[in-house]
Amino acid sequence: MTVEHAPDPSADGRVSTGTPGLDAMLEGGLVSRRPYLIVGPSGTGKTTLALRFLCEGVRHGEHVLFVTMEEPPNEVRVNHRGLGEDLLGVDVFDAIPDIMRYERVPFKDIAAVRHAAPFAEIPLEIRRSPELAAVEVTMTGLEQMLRTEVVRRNYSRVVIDSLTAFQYFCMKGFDPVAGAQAFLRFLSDLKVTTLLTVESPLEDADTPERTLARGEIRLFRWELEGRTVRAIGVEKFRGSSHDVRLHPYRIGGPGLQVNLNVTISRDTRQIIEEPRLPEVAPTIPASAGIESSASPFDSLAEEVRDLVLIGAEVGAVRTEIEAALGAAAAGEIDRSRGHISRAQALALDLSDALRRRMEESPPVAPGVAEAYQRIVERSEAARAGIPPTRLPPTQALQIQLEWVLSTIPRAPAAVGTPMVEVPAGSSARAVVEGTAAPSLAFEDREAEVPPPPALSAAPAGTPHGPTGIPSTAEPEAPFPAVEGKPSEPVETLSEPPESTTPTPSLPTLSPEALPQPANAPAAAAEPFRGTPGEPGESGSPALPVPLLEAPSTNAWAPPTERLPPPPNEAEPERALPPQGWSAPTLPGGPLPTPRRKTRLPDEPAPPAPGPASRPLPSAERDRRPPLPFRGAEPEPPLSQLPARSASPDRPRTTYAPVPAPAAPPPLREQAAASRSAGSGAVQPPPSRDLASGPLAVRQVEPRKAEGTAPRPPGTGSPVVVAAPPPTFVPPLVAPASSASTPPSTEPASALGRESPTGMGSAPSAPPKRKRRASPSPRKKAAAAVPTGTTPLVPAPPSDTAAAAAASPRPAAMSVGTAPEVTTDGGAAIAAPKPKRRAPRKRTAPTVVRARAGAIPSAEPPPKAEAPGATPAPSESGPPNEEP
Amino acid sequence: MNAADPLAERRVGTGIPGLDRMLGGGLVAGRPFLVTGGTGSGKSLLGLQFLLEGLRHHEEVLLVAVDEPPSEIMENVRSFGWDLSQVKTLDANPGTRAIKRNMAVQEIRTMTDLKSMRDLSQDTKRGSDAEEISIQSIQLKLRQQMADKPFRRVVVDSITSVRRFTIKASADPQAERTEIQSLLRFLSESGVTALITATPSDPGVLTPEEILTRGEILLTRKWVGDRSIRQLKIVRMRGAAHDPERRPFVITNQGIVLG
Repeated sequence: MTVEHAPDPSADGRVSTGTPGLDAMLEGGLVSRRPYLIVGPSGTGKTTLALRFLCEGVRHGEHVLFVTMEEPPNEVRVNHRGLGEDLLGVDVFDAIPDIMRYERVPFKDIAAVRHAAPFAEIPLEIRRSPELAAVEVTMTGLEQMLRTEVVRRNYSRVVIDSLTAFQYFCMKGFDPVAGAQAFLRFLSDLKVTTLLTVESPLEDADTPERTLARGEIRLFRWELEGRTVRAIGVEKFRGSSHDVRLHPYRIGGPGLQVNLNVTISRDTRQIIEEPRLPEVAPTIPASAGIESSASPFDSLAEEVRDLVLIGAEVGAVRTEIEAALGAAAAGEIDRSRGHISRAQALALDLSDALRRRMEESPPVAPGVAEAYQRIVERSEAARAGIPPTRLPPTQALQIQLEWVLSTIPRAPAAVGTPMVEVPAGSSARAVVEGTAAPSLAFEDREAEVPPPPALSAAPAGTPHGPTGIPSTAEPEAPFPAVEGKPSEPVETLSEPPESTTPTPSLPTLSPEALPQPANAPAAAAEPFRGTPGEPGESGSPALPVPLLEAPSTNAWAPPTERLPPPPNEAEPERALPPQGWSAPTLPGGPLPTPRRKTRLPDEPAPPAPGPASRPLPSAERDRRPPLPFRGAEPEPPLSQLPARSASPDRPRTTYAPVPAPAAPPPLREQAAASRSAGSGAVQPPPSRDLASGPLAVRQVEPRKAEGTAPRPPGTGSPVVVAAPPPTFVPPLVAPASSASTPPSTEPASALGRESPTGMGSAPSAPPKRKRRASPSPRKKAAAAVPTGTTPLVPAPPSDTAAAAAASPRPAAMSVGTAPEVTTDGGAAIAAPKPKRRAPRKRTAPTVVRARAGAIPSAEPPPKAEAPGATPAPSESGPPNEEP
Repeated sequence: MNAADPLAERRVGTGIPGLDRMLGGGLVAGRPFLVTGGTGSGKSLLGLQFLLEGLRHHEEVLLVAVDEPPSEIMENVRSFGWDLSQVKTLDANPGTRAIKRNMAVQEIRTMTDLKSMRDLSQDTKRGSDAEEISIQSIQLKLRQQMADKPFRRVVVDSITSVRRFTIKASADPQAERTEIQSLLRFLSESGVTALITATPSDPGVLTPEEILTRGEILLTRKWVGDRSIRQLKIVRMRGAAHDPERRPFVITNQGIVLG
């Protein structure tokens, strides 16, 4: 390209990369004094690109340093002689370890032995390892060297080639990722514009390092139709908008020749002819003076970090991110996207609420004050929850999400964290949601599944397909049970027997059932109610029945019935949080207690309620519509809402309840069933409640675990579902209430409220109040009742009795056992906290285990019914454990 | 490149004219390269042709045979009519004892010598009488050999096997990386043009030799009906303009022939 390329004069502080095409993609160049990565498979020109960057500096009279760790300096000089005279002005530091002598020779630290020298002084022959003193290249040695050299020579540009080799050969005793992180941090503190090359074995492979740098330039190499195609893209560039498209390039002349006129599709990898599209796609809407971040993760992480500093309860955000991680692990990018959007919205809501609260008395503590300042600045800018329009490959996504998670304290600080201020404002909602977050996750799944439709027909089950095979779907259901209440699983088992006939259908159904739970409250309830309840009881194979019962039974239906009763009372309140998800809501009930506990602290914040409430209503309104649609809409809204993301999230939750209203009227049983389904999801929460108030936090942890070991099963959501179990209980109550409440638009809320507050509270605004109010009640209830475990167990029996479904009841028995199972499974993950199980296990692994284990013995204990049920495996699982 | 350029690197023929053309004249002398490909893709053959090309130029060449015992290699190339008698072979096959020594091959036994070397090594990890081959022992042996007769070309066939047989190394990725790094560095400093063969690593796994070698040639074979189609691709080649496309080749009685 033209060497004369001059950076955009308007781009102050930008550093030209020396590759004109790339500068254009970066909208002027790199933001100075930060570390950046050049990632790509070998042979794509990473080193060439980096050297061009240095030569550009030399051209401007700067001192630049090239640290080589792969290629000997003499070879670099020869290989890149095409760069001309400029290269000779580049200082090079040979950081390649010597030959191992396998003898006792004194080791010398590289910083003490070698020094940077310009390429002009590099001999053409390869450096010979000294015979007597091997040089050891270590991270600390390199850092030492860089620190002194940068000071000595005042380097303004540094290239590390490569970070991969650095990790491979210079980090003995360090964890490569942790080491890289520390090193990048070091470079960041060095205040020098640094490029690090990273070798990625596959074009799409992700490396943990990429989340750490301020920007990432990625080089791709594909073989298309027998031809090798290279493309360059800016994957991440903090602090600036940039061209997000991929452009082909070739290596030739003095460097990389980027063809900006041609774009290569990221998915099909075909050339896209876009003659007149703007070359640079603004990543973010113009925001007042605030640096826009290209990566949604960056802005999110930043926001969350500040929130944490201020002491806000970010459990909800974390929960969403975990859900996103789970979805990503399951390969469900769209769902993951939804969760990310919600997380963003939650964070924004929190920020807004905090800001309102703190306006009167801004924090003074150092750090906190600064964080607050940043939050204020951000919220004053036209912030938009930037919906990730394009997510990185799943693997990359997972890593990035994990990175974001790492910035969020796991500790349920929430409980102790009084800062809960959040509650006061809209943030309160966020908090609530946070607790409910799990449920939200469910919603997403549901949304994906299109529960409503599913309810109506078996096809829905197919939708579940996402989970994959029916069996897979089942696992999900199990999860909930496992997480939340074992009892549920048991029930499922029992039910299966009944449904035995429909076995085939069951699988399908079960999946649907899951979705239904979520939807159940709203849409599903109406149509099926009659049937659902009947089927469940009768066990008739009727389609409806299968859906409700079989599916639900397996995991949900039975539980719902049984559990619902107990939960109802306690859960009602929670219903609100779960609202978004009908089922979740219910689950929320149980969880609520814990949440409420947490909330209680928050409650003090209530003063803010006014404002918060206002926002909420609007949000709720918006969301409500979505909820009905659940399946499809949820996500769309998110993406659409991005800007308003904060409100959308909440609304959704609320809305979910709304849909529920319709359902409630239909039939309690159905509602219960739906709830049960939901509860399945919710169950985990109950456990959490039992365990402790800060459920959200705990849940998060589990999820994390899951994230790491994410299981393929799309069940990730199931895990979430686990939380619902508690909900189940509430659902029971809710159903009853729902019957009365149906009229009310707010299903979830209604349900939840029924028990607690009662219908009295208004749908949108009331929720908050209800929540607040409910919290205390719940707490009491929780405390007295046994939030989690005890209540649950007892509840199932009653439910079963009520249900009059023999099989279900056995299930109840199983429920008791089921918990155990879950625990066992969970134990593997984290014996201590069931919560974790639920979240993480969402993936289904746990469920599977439970089922597997359960199958053998489980059925016997539950009853003959269990055997009959096709689902036996899962069902059986629980029973076994019970014994 | 052109003779006038003082920085121009010396090129080394691979013994396969078509490949030399793709490489823009051959491999850059004194650097290690990687040849990857599945079983039966022709890696060993390419390596042997590379060595024979060296013999034609009266260079000292060495084959580090890990995959196959030298005797079998002799058998295998008989149909090509190649004379491997001048190819020094470091018989690094773990089952070497059971193989009858073929006098036509100048074998460099690793065992005895290496034992003494091991005693000198600063951290002897292996039992004294285990006939193990390791990256470390190969390096030590090479170093010993280099002292009297500097090799110009070395083929390690294959590094994958070395890794597989070196249990201890694989137990410690860090140590293994360091050993491979050291070996390749040693070859570089010795001015040896080396070909390291390897079976493709798992996708997503980056091996140290992939990072450290200066170029990589990928051999693939796929079946179309009952015919196998062999292709060769230069995945990367530092500092050398090269043909980046996949090119078909055949194995004839002349060895690998590239169109």
